Amino acid sequence: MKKKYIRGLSIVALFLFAAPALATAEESVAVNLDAGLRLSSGINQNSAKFEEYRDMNNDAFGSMTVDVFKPSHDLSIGVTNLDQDDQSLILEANHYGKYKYTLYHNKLVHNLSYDSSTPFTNIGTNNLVGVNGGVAAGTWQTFDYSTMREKSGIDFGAYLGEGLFASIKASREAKTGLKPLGTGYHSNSLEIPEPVDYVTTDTSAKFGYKSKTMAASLTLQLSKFTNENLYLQWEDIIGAAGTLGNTNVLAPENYYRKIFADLAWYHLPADSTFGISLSHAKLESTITAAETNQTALPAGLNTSDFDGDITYNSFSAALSSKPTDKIDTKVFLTHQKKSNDSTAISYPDNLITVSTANHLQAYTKQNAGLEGGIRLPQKTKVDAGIEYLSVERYGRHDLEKTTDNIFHLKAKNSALDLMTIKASYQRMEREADYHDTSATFLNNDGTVNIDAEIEKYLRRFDATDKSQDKVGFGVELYPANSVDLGFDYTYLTNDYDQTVLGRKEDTAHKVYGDFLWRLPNKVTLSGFAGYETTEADSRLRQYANNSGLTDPAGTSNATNFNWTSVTNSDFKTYGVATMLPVIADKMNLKVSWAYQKNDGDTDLTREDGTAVEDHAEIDDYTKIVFDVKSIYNIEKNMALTVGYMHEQYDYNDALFNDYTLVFGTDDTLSGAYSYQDYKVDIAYIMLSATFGN
Amino acid sequence: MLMNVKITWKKLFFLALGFMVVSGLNLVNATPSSAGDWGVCTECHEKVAAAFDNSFHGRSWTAQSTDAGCSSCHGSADKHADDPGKHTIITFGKNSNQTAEEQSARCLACHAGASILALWDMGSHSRNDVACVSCHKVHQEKQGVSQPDTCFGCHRDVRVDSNKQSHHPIIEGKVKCSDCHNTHGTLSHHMIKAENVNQLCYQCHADKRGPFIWEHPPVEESCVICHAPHGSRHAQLMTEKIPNLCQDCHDWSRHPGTIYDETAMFTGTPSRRVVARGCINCHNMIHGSSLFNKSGFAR
Repeated sequence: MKKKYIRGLSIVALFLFAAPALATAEESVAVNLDAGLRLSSGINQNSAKFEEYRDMNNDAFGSMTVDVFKPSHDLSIGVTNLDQDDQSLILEANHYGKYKYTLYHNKLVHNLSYDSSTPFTNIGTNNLVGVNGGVAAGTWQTFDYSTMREKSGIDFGAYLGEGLFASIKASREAKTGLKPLGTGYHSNSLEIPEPVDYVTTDTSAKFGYKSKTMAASLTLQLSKFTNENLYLQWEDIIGAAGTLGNTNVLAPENYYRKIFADLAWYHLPADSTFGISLSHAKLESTITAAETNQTALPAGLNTSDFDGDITYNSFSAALSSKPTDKIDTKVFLTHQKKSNDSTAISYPDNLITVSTANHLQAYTKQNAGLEGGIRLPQKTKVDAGIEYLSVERYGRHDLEKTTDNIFHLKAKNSALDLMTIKASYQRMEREADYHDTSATFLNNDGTVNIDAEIEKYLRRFDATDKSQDKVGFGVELYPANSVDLGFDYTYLTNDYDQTVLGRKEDTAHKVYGDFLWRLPNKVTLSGFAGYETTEADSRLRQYANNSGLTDPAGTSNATNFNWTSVTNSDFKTYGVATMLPVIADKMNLKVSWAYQKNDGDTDLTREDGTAVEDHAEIDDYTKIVFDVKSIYNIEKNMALTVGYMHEQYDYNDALFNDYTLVFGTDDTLSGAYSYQDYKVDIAYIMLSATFGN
Repeated sequence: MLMNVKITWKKLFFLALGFMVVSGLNLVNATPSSAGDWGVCTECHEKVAAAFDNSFHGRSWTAQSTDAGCSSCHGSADKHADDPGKHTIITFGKNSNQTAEEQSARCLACHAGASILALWDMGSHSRNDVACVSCHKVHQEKQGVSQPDTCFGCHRDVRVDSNKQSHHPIIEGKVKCSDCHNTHGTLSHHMIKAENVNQLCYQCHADKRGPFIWEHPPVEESCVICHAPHGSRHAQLMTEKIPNLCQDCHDWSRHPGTIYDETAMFTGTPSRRVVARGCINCHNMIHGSSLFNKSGFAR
């Protein structure tokens, strides 16, 4: 059915541009057609990394665009990567000053791992069948972890006259395939293929008005997510024969609706523009134990029906002004609120220390700021600003509120025609209001929870006190009309100054540069380079269960000690590309080469002095991409391309080196991301034709 | 290699048919009629003027029979004809004698009524001297901006991130910069097309929207606490390697606070808590869990 659809569209497209052949002299048609053949060696050999988002199999390939230009409108039809996993179809039409529309169908493949394996059968369903009593018994099944998104949609916009406009959008996306799911049972880990069968339908309608003095629009948006597999049931393959299966509950279906309005007023005093944005959105889901195959419910559970109910409200306003031709300012304010009225779930449990109630997460965010810029002599501009952000969180057990105070300053100078220099600095101070941790933590039965005392010392980096500095510097050089050079440097550091346990500090240095040189006789040479070095320092405490030895300044012995980790990463990338006209106006040669290397490691230290072994390889990889092609112009509107591409990727990581499917006491993996290396050579030939104007 | 070739012969036939049909058509080339003051400009700028005839602007103006022409954007050519040089005409681009705001004002003289530009004054581009022509090639045949190459010209860090081993399919052409960012201005930070990061991400990742019974606080607050959306050296766009990322927030007795050194890898005595995908070997439902019996995001 799909192939018939594609062929049909192709036939329609072919004849669509045939029609203009009978048209008047006022119309024109442009057709671009690419057809080629690709022969590859090395892909599909266990690693999916080369084809993560591409379809590069040995095959013919082709793309086509047809552009029809008429006095009152134009029409464009495009097919890219015809009949492949990354195919794209699009039809765009624009009736000048009246309306325009786009129809599209897009495929996006995401290949994660090839030749993964599992002892389960029934792969692709939500009921994995295994054999009780042993993981190693029987023949493992082989499959690929891969998902495919297919999205079809239409966008239509119309100008209704007198400043009025309207637009409608509708789309449907189906996502299918398999992705890895990790779960636990019998104190073991198990990695199994989770079936993916999602459909997301989105619809929006917008109506608005815009004039020279004001603009207003109102948009209604609806989105529905459905999942054919609300749960994944799998058999207990290491339990005794007859042991009941287990269930993982998968992504819940949800329904989202939103209404939002934008308003803006222009040409206000001091050459100001004032804008407002308001939105109200509601998100709902329904989860029942029955529908999600949950039979082993905790005793005393208050309800087995969960209604998810979240509301998002947002208000933003900003006033930008130019009181003089040298000064510009901006003031902004944002208020966002997430309310969570979902079902409260609770059940009594005197054994575990954490709460037995779901802490529904909500927040209120207030953000305000003031920026100003001034143009100084010698083409210099200086900008400065301050910003305040307050986040109050509800349902989070460790803290309630954080406040950020941010200051930034930047300057740019273009006094010299051949150079632009810019520099910037930003400072942020975050304060966190933690819950009172001085009191003793109690279990539900009133006994002291001595393990929870660690919360007195632990700070979570996403919402704890910190000081942040960010420095930036950049230069753009234009020494000649034919040469462009650019350079950027950024330094970022976060100091979590109140943290005793947790992330203490992280820093990053990033340098980038590029150039473009347009040489005589249409020769071009370009290049780029980048270097990043990052470091993250953390400190944690390992302590025995029920020991109460949580104080980092307290006991230090073989089983209760502090330790630190320093995670480093050095990343570099560079590349060059050139275009050489081998035969003037007849044949060009394009060559490009790009290289990437990451070198990561983690240094571990026990503060009691006991030796530990560092991780020397953390996401270490090198990637090389080389491409050379010759483009020969057979005629003015026809060219033949002959090319060769080599791509190579080598990956080493301490967590994956010497990967084993079954280890420990029946810990079972399936090979997800386990093999990533590839070395691929591709030869290709392509005929390109252009017709019309 | 030839043994492994699986050519879709039907596909080849179709493309060949396309070539035959196309080459046999009697395609008509439109003869553009010059409008406005193009005649004066073509005396020196013949190639540019000829190319402009086939541009979107050229066709649109011709179709609407306006008297718009070169001077609509470049100003009057009276002085320029006598004294050719950039100082006697309005130019665009990096060597322009106009500021970015002045260059954009020429475009806004016609396009101010476009709804897409409703919040142009509020956006980072406008406020950082990015002009319309910084991204849009006005003399080109079709509308639109070449993404992501145009954006990478200024955003070098994003270009590098987009090429890292884990990335959104930006360089593959499946995700455009404008899918997430409204480059013409918004009231949101980083000009994203939503009120906040999570609302933006959920547009494509609706399976992460929830609502879930058990929520993970950093997930509810912002996706970018754990993910680097343009690209990362770590798998699944993580900002930090697992388990380091998780242990930066989770310290407790037993395994959360345990040190996992090289002896716990496959090369030693492997621990399920660190090898392969680390913490998510068990705690896979990290974006939220809907098992009534709380499972620490394992089910």
